Amino acid sequence: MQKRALLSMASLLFLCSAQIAYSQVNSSYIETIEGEASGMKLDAQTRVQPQKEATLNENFGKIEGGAISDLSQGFTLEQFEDILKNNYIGSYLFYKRLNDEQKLEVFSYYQSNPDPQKVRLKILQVTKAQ
Amino acid sequence: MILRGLFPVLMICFNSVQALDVKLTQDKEFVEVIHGDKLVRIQRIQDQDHMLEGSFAKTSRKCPPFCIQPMSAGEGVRTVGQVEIFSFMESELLDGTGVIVDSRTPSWWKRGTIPGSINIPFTTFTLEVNDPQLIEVMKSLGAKRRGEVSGFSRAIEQIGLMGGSQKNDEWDFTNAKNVLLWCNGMWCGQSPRAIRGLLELGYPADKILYYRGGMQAWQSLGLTTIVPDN
Repeated sequence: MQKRALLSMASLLFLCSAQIAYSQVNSSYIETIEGEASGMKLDAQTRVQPQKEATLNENFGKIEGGAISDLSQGFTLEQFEDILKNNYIGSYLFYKRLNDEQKLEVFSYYQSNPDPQKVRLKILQVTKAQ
Repeated sequence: MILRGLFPVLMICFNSVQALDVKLTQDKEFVEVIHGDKLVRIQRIQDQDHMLEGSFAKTSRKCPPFCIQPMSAGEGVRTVGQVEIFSFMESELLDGTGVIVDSRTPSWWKRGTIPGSINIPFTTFTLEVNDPQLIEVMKSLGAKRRGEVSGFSRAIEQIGLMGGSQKNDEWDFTNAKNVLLWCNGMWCGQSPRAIRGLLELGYPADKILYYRGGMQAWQSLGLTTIVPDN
């Protein structure tokens, strides 16, 4: 009985010391990487240029959710935009920056390709052609 | 008068056709990502005489802990390069089915990151399974903490029924997003640790991607970085 109690205590001590050792390794690791971080400097030329970033509000305006949830064939332009807004917010943000003519180009593409991935690529393609 | 009116239009046309000399790939000049409330364009430094400056020009750091990492961060985890990241940004990230995670500690993150990334320090994935911070982070990755699950349900799940392949005792990964993790590069152990943590939690390996080149490779290619607002 006593032997068993001693064994349990020994295993508990072993587990505790292993845990402490693990924490020590972890904390010394973190200490070292934090030390390296303190002097970290990125190449200034890679920093994003002001004209290459814009706030989403400036670019996209207000975003409101709609009601339809699935992209399939036969939707009107309004419904199509509603679906993008609800389910493909990233694509919708890019879509919203397009002018009316480009939006129609995407919509007409969707009518023959009602596949979210294809529509997304089309939006990107039109965005980049701007 | 007419010419004056045409000038801005011509400028717009000129700007839109101005091609970059240093493109990302043969057919891609730049990618745009949403970073917080900003739309950021990622491209390369256009100065072809530019030499890398800053901390990532350094070749050597003490090992350990800054040791060279293996190509694979875990069984079933895909290691990717920049081109795959650009595709990821234009697909999964764009539509919210994927997340790019800067898994470095906040002191690294706040000095500059890859646009489109969110900061989840690798230490998060070693928290206790019931820690609210871990639960919150896992939720943001699409994984759900499970409540009490009966032995019978688990038995059924374990034979692959009821979506069992995407669940364990603690988490439901049915809607888990694809997670692309990175840190400082091939000499950095932070993202491999984060990946090990995720795998230990049961996160499906096929939904984890490891960008081994990290900030080191990103900087070497002169790719755009951003200093987070907070």
